[in-house]
Amino acid sequence: MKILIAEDDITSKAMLEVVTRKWGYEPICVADGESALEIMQQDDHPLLLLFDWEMPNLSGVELCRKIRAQEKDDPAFIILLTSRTSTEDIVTGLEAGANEYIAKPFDHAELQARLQVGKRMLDLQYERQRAEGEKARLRRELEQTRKMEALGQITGSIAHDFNNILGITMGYTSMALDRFGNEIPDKMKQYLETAMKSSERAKELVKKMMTYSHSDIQMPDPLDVVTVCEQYQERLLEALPDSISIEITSGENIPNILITPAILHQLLRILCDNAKDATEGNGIIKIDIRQAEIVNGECSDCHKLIEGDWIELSVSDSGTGMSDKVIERIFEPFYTTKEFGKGMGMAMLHGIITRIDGHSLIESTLGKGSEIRLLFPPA
Amino acid sequence: MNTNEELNSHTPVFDYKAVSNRLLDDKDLVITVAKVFVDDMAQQVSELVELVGSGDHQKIAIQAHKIKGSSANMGGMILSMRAKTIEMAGKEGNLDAIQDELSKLEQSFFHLRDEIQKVLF
Repeated sequence: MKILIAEDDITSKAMLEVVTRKWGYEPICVADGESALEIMQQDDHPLLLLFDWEMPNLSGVELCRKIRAQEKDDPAFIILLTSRTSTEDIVTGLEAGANEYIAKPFDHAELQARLQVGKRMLDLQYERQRAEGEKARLRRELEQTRKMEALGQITGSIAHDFNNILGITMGYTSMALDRFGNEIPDKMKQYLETAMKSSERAKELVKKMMTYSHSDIQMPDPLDVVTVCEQYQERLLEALPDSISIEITSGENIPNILITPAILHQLLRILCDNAKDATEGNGIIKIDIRQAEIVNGECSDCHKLIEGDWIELSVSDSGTGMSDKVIERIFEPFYTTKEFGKGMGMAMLHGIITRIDGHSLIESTLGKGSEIRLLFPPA
Repeated sequence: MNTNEELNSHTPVFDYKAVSNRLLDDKDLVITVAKVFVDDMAQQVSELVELVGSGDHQKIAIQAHKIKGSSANMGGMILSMRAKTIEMAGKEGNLDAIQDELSKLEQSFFHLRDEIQKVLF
């Protein structure tokens, strides 16, 4: 465990450094309060702190106050070390935010015991936060599962019924054109052809809805993702404006995954379309394929805990990015932020990824871009 | 009771047992820290001498406080008590008392340095 020692006296600092190191801590030593505060403003700062009271620039007590004022979820454990021993001083130190108080010259057994108290408190605090985090994740997972199941059933059911009706409509329209196409007026023929074209578009939409409810995905043979992505690059580029380029990178010896080339094309098309819209028609879309070991990850879609080895396909752009609210709803069918979008792209992606027991991780910053990482189980 | 009254023939120049205990009875650690202490304390005492020359009794008290704490940590009990006397005199603005005690403090430092040398090296 890291420990931050702020002590201006060189001898005391050297003593504290050698004994804490011998006890198995990783001491970080500074000689004044301001340097200690700078360290505490870094992301990965120590949580066990040992401060001298009297220091140049910023005293140990002022340092306690500043640290307590700025800390959020993970309060530090602060021990003040000083030759001040009056009750009034002790109260001042504790009121400023110190957890413990040790008189100088320190006794090593007492110091060790106080540090162990601090370590125990921090361990308990970490365990409590971890348990609370896990509880919140499980709640999100349950809510998302219920929501997506309900939407899947509704969407699948509507798509099925609508598909049957559409089949009849298209069948009769086709029959009318085949049998009477030469006998009816041109205008009427044109009307029937328009109805047929619109019905075909409706069929495409129904197909997407069925993909979302994962009722039409077949389980395929193992596939080499890198080769398929590289082969499909030209086709992807054809659908993009010239001002957008695609860069594909990959790791070595990537295991196969269970997916058909057509479905992989569909996933790439969805992600590249979104990236194109986010970059407003300019920039580079980066596709990266590699093996990834995920530790304590949380799926952005189903909110399940993700651990272990996966094949990762990531698509990133430097576009407009997405807010957390958008990410929260991005996999819902018919949810869209685009003016002419149907909101089925990411819903289809959800259907496919769920069917193959994969996961999605989304990282996005407004104004900077997004990265969508699809995780596939190795075949 | 003033500091001089606290000093007696039993007050150790260098309380090796105390400092060794503080450093987990590891002689190598004591030697490492003792080297740091001797170098730093020579500097601290020299700064105190300069401050006494300037007559700034508040800064003298602060500097004496530092010497008091550092030497007590290193088991230099006589030096620590001499520093405490100067710290108190500084707080009272008693420059005569500071002048009287300064050479005693310097002597205490030299004794402590010699004693550390004798015990550890």
